[in-house]
Amino acid sequence: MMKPLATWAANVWSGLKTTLLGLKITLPYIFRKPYTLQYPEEVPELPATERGLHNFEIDKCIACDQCAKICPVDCILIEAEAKGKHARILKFEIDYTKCLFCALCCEPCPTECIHMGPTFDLVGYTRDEVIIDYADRENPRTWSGNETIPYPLASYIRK
Amino acid sequence: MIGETLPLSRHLGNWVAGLVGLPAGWPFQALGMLLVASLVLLVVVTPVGLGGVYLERKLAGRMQNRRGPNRVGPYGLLQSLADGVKLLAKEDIVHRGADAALFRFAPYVVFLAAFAGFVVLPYAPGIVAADLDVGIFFFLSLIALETIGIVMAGWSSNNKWSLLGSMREVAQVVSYELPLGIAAMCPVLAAGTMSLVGITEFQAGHVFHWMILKNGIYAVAMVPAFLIFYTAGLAAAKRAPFDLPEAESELTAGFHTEYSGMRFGMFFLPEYALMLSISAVTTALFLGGYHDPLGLSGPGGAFEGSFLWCFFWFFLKTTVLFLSQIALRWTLPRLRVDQVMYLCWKVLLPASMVCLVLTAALRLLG
Repeated sequence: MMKPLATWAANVWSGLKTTLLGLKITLPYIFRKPYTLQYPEEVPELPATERGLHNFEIDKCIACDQCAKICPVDCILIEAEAKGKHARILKFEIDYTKCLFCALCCEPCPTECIHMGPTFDLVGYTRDEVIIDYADRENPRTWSGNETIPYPLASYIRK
Repeated sequence: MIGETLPLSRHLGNWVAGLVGLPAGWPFQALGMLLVASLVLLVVVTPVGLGGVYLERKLAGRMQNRRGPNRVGPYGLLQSLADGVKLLAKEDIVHRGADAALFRFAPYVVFLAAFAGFVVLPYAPGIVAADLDVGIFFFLSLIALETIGIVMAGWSSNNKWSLLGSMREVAQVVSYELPLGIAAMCPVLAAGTMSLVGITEFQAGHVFHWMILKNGIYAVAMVPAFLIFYTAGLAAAKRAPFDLPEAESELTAGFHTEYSGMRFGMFFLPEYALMLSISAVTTALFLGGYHDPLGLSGPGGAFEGSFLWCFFWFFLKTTVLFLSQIALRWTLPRLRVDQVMYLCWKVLLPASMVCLVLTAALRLLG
């Protein structure tokens, strides 16, 4: 008679105790700072080795086509007048619907004009909008060397 | 008869009768009741439902290291309103194979049952829609009525998950209603009335006049009874850890899987209304209702009969219980069906009976 009653009481006690124990764990979180990053307004700090959208230094490029040749998905298209030091780049398009961010294009470049950048977000209403022409000097994504690249989605939202 | 319990509806009805130049009679009093009902829906349903959803989401977010809604309006305050507009604008789908009449009717039963409970709540001295002699009994029977709506929804959906959900609800109701009722009988026995106003008035004064600590000695029976009522109340509101009828990880959404648009909203809002009304009834039964801990609202106190002071304390206690229900939901995992049965039949029921006997003994001894 007494033993089942003792088991019962122990059960009830452990039920109450574990409930309070659970609350002891969860309740302090209410007063803790949330971990969430308010993404389009706040951007994460990424390591320098982040392989995001490319940074392209158009003044260094000699239109040798090495990057386009090594690209496994064939996403780089270069059009230029002349070659070598006097090359004038007419078009340097990277098709981000294809690009797999493998960074192979950065390896063979003799002038080190193409790098992987920190930008990871790119939005567009059509597929054409995510084909970026880095030869277009008006393009905010074209990198001249020392300025940071604006975050495309973030800048879009701020407008 | 109509309008006697609600003087406001009688006045409104007579006013409308005067407007149209017809003799006041029962049709206008019925119209007055409708007007009062729609006013209550506007004033009670909207803030309770929307505010409850917002609070729950915000608190859940913080408990999980997130922020919760913060996009719509300042601090995301308008999120619930936006969701409500979305629900209203959505298509009302009655799928092929459903029992259309029952399917359409079920949400109204749930909605009505959950919101009718507010009628008997004593918010402050003299502020009660209907001071029924059987207040607590009326409230408990409304909870039972809600179950019928849920069974209707589950059955008419013609969906196995819905049916399983509503069957679980039935199994749960049968289990939790007994301890809920018996635990509620302890304060009723002590106060000698079933009217919530009467029970609240019985607890007038400072914290040792409240039911849960009445004269100190009553705590022996009332503290366990309070815990039982609170636990069974969680089950009645279908809140975690007793959210078996919904069980989104197992049954999609349980009994309301097939509902869309505002019909879904009519299952969703009553959940929060029920949480709030159960918290309020727990307050009225055990925690002294609208009396403050120092007894300032009691006889001879500085705030005797003060509406705002009393309402503030009633609201504060109810909100604390409401928040604790939310906190528990995001803390405890869902119980299995057999665990619910064990808890209700083998733990809560015997314990509530012991409480009842103890209360009776205490009453007998003076």
